[in-house]
Amino acid sequence: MAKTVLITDDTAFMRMTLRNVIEKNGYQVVGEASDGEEAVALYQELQPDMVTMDITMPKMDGITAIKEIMKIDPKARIIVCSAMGQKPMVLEALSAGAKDFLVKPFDAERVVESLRKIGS
Amino acid sequence: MDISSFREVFAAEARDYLQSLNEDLLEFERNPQDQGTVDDMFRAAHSLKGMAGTMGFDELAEFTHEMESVLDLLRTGELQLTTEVINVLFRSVDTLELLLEQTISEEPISPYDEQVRSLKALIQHASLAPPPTTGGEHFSAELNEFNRETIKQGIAQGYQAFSVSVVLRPNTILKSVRVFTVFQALEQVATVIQSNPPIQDLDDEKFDRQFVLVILTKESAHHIRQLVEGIPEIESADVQSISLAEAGEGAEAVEQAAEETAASSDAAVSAAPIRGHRQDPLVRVETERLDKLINLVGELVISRTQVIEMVKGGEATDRMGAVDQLDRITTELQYAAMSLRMVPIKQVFDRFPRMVRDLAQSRGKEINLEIFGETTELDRSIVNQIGDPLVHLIRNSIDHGIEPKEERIAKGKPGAGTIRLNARHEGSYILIEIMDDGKGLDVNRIRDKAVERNLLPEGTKEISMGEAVNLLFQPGFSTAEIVTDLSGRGVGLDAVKAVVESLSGTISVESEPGKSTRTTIKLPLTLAIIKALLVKVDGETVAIPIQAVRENIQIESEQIKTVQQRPVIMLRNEVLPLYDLAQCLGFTPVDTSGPLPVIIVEVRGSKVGFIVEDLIGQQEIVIKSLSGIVGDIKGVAGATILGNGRIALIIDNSTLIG
Repeated sequence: MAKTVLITDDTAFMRMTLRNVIEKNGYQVVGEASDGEEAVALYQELQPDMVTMDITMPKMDGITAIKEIMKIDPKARIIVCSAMGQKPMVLEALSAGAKDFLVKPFDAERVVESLRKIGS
Repeated sequence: MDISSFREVFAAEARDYLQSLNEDLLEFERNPQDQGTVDDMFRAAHSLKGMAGTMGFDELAEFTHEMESVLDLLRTGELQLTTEVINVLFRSVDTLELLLEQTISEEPISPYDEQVRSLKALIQHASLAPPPTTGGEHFSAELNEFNRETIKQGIAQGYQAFSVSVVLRPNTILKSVRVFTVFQALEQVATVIQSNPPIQDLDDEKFDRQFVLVILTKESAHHIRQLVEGIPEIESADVQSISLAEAGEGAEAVEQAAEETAASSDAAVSAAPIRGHRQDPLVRVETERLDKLINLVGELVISRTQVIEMVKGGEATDRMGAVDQLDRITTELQYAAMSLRMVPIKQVFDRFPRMVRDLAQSRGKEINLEIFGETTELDRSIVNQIGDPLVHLIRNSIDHGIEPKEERIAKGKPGAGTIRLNARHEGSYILIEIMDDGKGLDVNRIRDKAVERNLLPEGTKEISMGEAVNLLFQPGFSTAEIVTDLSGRGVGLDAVKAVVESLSGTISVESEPGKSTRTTIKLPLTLAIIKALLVKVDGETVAIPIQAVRENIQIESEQIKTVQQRPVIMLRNEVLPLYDLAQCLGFTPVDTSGPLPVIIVEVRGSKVGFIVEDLIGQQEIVIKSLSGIVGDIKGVAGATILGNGRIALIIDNSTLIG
């Protein structure tokens, strides 16, 4: 059974890029969220094995979303996605419970490694 | 504007910058206090970066940028100069050279990441102020005070102490955050009691790829290792137990690990791409030192001659044996010392493939260049001077020898022409041949041209190939119908011949009309020791370089004729001007009453007779220059010391007569 992934990002382009890498490597993308609120709602609904979480998003930012998801499921496996120069936010996300971080632009191998290690 | 046309200019200038970087580095290593040198290097790297960027050579620009950063830190004193820094910089220049040559010749670029990392490591190291020595002391003291007791207590309470040495993967992004995830993971099962480098430095990313943590835990070493290696971007985690007995040496354990860090980064540095051209088993020797050695050997050769002469007076055979030995040893020594001056002609040949390619392209011809014997060695002073004549001859072959493709095919020749460059030894000479399979020499056209230029009388009908070749070497002769940008710049074959002769060499041309032209340059292997004919003039001994001597004859005074008030002699139907060598050198003129020895010498392409008082014989002589007080004297190339300790002048046949 392929591990399931929920993608969270406010740009369709980044979601598409991630979906492409994730699906090519044997994972199943079960949903896409375009902001934090949607991510929290979809997490409850889909109960994915892993979540990729963008930081800067409208309505609810990624860090708040991580905190909300961790409240619902302390064992959630969230990988935070950041742009260059967002180190303090990445640290905050990790402290909030994210298991790993990815830096844009994404390196496909890094994405796969993260899914593999965090998913196991 | 097409920027690719600047490529050659860029390459030449970039090579100059690299050369000056190399020189400045040597100077800087000797004299690190000289701010000027490091400023120069910084500017050189900066200029190089700008140039490379403009050309769109991104690899070069990127690499130079890293180098510039390191040089900037050295310039501002933020980075201390150590042997390691110098080594990294030297290797970086090597890498740059390689990158440059590969970029210029459009070859695939070799990986240079390792070298970039070495440079980046220096940049990170620089921000690790205060300087490393005090930092190290400070660190170990801290460990002793704070942690020995902690570890002892921990072990007493059933914990285990481990040193965890973590290596991040190259190019890890946000290293400090990655370290944070390692801490986060470990702190679920362990207490981190010490880190090297300190946490603050890890947070500021003031480390390369490795850091060492001392932890207390109830988990096994294996589990800790699995835990850390389960984190993305971790290359390896080495977990070592710190026992109770060793607790006191906890500091050393960490220190040792830190040393391993240094050692592993050293290994990375030495694995950097130092390749090809630097692997040549060549030793750089100052020419000055070589010259001194050659001079010393010269003295030895003289002393050998003295001993031989002395012994010849006696008869004891064992003494003769000893002298044979001296003879053998000194001969070997002579060649060994000379070999230090020898360099492969490859140095000159190397630039031709590119040149032929470019010229052929601009002339719209297809030309294959074949090179043979590029490892043939000859004296470096000759190598330095033979380049231009060869360039000229190859250009001649391309412009005037090889026909356009259509013409070749019409003649039944392969469409692509061939130029063959060949160097080989023959006795104490080196022969360099330039052969092309082009249209050869057109004797009739050479004749017409020569008549036009008043080099031959009007109405001359048949000339031989030999005569045609001689005409080619006449000053101002050129058969090029259209003056091309390179070959036809008014520098004719006469200039080539002049250079070759100044190197005591000869040049000859053979041609099969319609098929091929072969130019052969014959050069002595070295200019330091030559074979000479010794003659007596007004009681003095004078040496004439043997390769200028055509023959020796003896004449009677009545054979001397006068043409246009100048003395001449007839030799096998040739009229040769006759000079008195003594007079030419300002000695008392020879007594012309008896039989006269005459040396036939080639002077600028024509044979000339010189009357001498007597012939002495052939001998190897060591050339000593006359520079200094005496200076340049017309007709005198230098002097040598003879076996009897006396000095003999060496004739410069090319300037002897006006």
